[in-house]
Amino acid sequence: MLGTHEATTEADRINGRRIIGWSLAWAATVLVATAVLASDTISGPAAWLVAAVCAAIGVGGLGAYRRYVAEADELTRQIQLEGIAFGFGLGVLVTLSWSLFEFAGAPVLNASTAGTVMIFGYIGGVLLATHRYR
Amino acid sequence: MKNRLRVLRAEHDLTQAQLASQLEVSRQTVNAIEVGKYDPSLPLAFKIAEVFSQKIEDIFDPA
Repeated sequence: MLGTHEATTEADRINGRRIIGWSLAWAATVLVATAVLASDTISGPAAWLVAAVCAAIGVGGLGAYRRYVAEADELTRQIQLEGIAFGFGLGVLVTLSWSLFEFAGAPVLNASTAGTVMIFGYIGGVLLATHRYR
Repeated sequence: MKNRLRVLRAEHDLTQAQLASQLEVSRQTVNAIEVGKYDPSLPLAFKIAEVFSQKIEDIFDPA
C-alpha cells in the first residue's frame, strides 16, 4: 500500500518504509503513553509532556507521508489521492450520518471513531484504486 | 486515450520494467498507460516521446 510492493519505484519503497517506521514508533508511543496516563502515575506538566511527545512523533509521520506523496511516481500519487478522498469522504459521511442515528437511539460515537473510519476508508480506497489501475 | 506505447516498446525490444526505469516511473504506471487505464501527465508524455524519438501526437491519440 505504501510503496512496498514490486511495482513501485525505489524512492517509493524507501519513503514507504520511512512511513512504516514512523507509524510503528507513533503507535508504540501512543500505547505506552495511554498506559502511563491512564494509570495516574504522572500528572501536571509531565503528563502534558508525554502527550506532546506522542503528538510530535505523529507530526514526524505526517511529514514522512507528505514526502512520500511529493516524491512518488505519478500513478502512485493518483492512487494515494483516491485513497485519501475515499477515506475523508467516508469519514465525513459516516460521522455526520451517525449523528442522526444517535437521535434514533444508536450508541454515541467518540471522536476516535471518525479517525478509525477514515483510516479504514483510506486503506479501502487505496486498494480499490490499485486494483483499478492494475 | 489510446496510445501506441505497447507497439513502440515491442519494436524497441524493451520490457515494461526497462521502460519504467528509463522513464523513472513504476512498471505499474507503464502497464496502466499501455492498457489505457491511466493517462500520463504532460511531462511524462514528453519523456515517453523522447525515449522513442517520436512526437507526442504520434504516440497518443485523444480520440
